[in-house]
Amino acid sequence: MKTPTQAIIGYADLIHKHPEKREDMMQSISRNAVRLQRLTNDILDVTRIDSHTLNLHKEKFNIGNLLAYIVQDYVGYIEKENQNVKLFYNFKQDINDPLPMDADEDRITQVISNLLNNAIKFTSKKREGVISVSAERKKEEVIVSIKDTGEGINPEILPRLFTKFATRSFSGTGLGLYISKSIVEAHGGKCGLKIILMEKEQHLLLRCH
Amino acid sequence: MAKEKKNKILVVDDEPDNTSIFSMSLEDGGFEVDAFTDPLLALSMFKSGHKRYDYLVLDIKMPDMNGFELYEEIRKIDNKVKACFLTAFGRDTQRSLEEDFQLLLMSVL
Repeated sequence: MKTPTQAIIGYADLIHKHPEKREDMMQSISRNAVRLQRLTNDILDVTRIDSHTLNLHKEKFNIGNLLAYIVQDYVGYIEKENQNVKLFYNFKQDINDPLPMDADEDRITQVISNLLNNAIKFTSKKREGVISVSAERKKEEVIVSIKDTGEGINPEILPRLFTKFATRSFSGTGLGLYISKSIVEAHGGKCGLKIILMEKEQHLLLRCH
Repeated sequence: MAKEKKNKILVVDDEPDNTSIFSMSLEDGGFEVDAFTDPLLALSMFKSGHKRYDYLVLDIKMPDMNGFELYEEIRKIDNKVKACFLTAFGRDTQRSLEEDFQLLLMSVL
């Protein structure tokens, strides 16, 4: 949290002395404020999880539509931020069948986004990389798979990946997977969710009712 | 009137916002500044001998090569250059106290 806070304060101090760079500095302040907000939300989520006050707002929604929306959003984001990485998505035909899920849609979005963020983070900006997202329906289960051509999960960190602050990234907090696992667990047995992590693949199993 | 010689500073921090802010602040303070977000590129430039620097401002935690490692490599080329290290992590102070580093700046936020 110190990095975006420093950037906001630093640019705010300099903006008066460099009016010619005002536009760029305002964009940087804005970008870091969003980053700080994201980190703050992660910390708040962890607090709720640890105090057992994480409340879910369950509702019925179509998981196929949600996946398409999330991936479309990320395609635009990746094109803007990292032109060396390409995102491909492949949904089997039957994913478009109404597949209602009774779950907290915002929190499911958060879990899928966390997995995508991990794939993006570890697919190097220095060379071309590919992230492929696929979704397949098997009876009442939807399996979302995210594969990347990045450096892979470090075997040393694998055993503690779902714990707090487990990260080798220089930009992450290491809370994403801990929060995602907690969201999955909070949904309990009726709406089954499971995250499986392999070296260069992440799979999310969603059981729909 | 002779042109006043400016001290030259090399800033290396993997966060682009940090290099931008440090560069502008130091230039406002009258220094000539070069900044890099890639420590390997900074080292390569230093090895090319194109420029001499009076001071280094180095972030400690960086991918590929941390600030301490970069400083040790630079000292093999120029052992007179002084360094200031930047960190947000308290545990880095132990290393700086054990070794002969000139200055450690901690993020106070």
